[in-house]
Amino acid sequence: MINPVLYGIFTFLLFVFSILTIAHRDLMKASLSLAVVLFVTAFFYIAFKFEFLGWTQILLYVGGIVVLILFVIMLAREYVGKPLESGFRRTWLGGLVSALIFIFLLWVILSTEFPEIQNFSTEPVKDLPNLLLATHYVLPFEVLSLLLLAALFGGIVIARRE
Amino acid sequence: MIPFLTVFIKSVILILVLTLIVAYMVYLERKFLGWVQNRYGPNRAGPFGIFQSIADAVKLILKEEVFPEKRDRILYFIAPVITAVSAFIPFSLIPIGSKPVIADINTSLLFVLVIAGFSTYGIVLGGVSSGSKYPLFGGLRSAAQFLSFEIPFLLSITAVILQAETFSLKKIIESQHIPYIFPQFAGFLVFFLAGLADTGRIPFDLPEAESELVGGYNTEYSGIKFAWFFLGEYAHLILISSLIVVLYLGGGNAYFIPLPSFLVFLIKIAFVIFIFYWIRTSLPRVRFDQLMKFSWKFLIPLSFLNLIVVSIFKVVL
Repeated sequence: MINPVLYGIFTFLLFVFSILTIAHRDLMKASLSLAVVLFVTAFFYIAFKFEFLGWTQILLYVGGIVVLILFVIMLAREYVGKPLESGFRRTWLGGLVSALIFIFLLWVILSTEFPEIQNFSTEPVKDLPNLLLATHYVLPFEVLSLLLLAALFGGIVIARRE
Repeated sequence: MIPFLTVFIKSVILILVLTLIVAYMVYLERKFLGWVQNRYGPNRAGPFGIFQSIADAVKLILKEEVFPEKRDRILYFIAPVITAVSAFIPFSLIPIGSKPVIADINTSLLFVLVIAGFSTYGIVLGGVSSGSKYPLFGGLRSAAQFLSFEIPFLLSITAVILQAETFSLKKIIESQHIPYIFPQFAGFLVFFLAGLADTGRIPFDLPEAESELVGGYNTEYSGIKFAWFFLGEYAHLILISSLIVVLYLGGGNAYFIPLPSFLVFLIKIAFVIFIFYWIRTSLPRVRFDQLMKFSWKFLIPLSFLNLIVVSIFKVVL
């Protein structure tokens, strides 16, 4: 299955970089830590034989979304290389909300019974489109994404007019 | 222990061979540029200047390194390494000839794309960590360029995956009874142009435009660190050419000509690289807004069209 030593190392990395993502004062490094977190998560997918999911996660999130985040940070140049200033005013409220979310997620995870997948095909490319169209959720999802795209363009048009 | 040792030795040989190829690619490029522009090109070191690249490499290694004071220590050091390493690793899976050099996995195409995509990180981080404004602009341009060309790049590959029904580079080559350049010419065009932008070469070399940004993202790099960037960039060029050969030109398939498949593969790569050089000598650099327009208004619609046509054919046939 999965090498326990590697599992330990990657769990540790995941933990450290997750903390860094939210705690690092330099926005640039915080987003790079996010990239490392996504990368390590993909490692777990791949180690559990969900290779397609793992590679796609890296391709889309590390290769796309985080580069976009970096781009935006660089565009607002005052944040590059300078630490972020943040007060402690909202720490209590934020901590409370985070704790509530944590308890909720823990409850969900503990109360869910995870079924073990017995057999899955290793050559799924041929069936992928059929499988996607067979479930009821894909078409609404795609329509929704189209709507979001239209909203995005609308936003740009309105912003450009001024 | 033995498989580990063989993989290690193979990797070392692969890296050395690639470095040598890069050295002579640069020499041939300069000779070709000289020929086109009616001058000699390198002609001092050795007969016809064939030792020029070696001399350049020695110079870069021995040169004193100058560091910018406002650099970010870790990122500044790590950026050129990311660029070079991310260009070298994918070669372990590229099927030169009939089978991949080091490893063969089912999802090799995805792996190659994922690792090759990291070269942008090297360039962006190099720009940001230098702590000076021209590299920052270089990194900024690189990120924007990568984001807008990655979409048509991946969409054209999706069409190939759809037709070949596999993610394995080896099987994609085996499935090409006729090279995919013929049924998917639009896809080939998109992939070629997006690949040109991905390698950051003229006419899409905005991230390191010398006349605008001094040297772009590598302005503050010197000596061996600059050599890493340089090496990574040219290795990336070979990588994109070999992907073009694998995905669209039938890999090591010679079809009617009886030649060993690795030789056919190398000849095809050399031809694609030659076209890259040819474009470099012929075209001026595009403006940044032209670059963006070109990607969003031409390449992306074209790649969507290609994908739709390929899927319709796939369903009908």
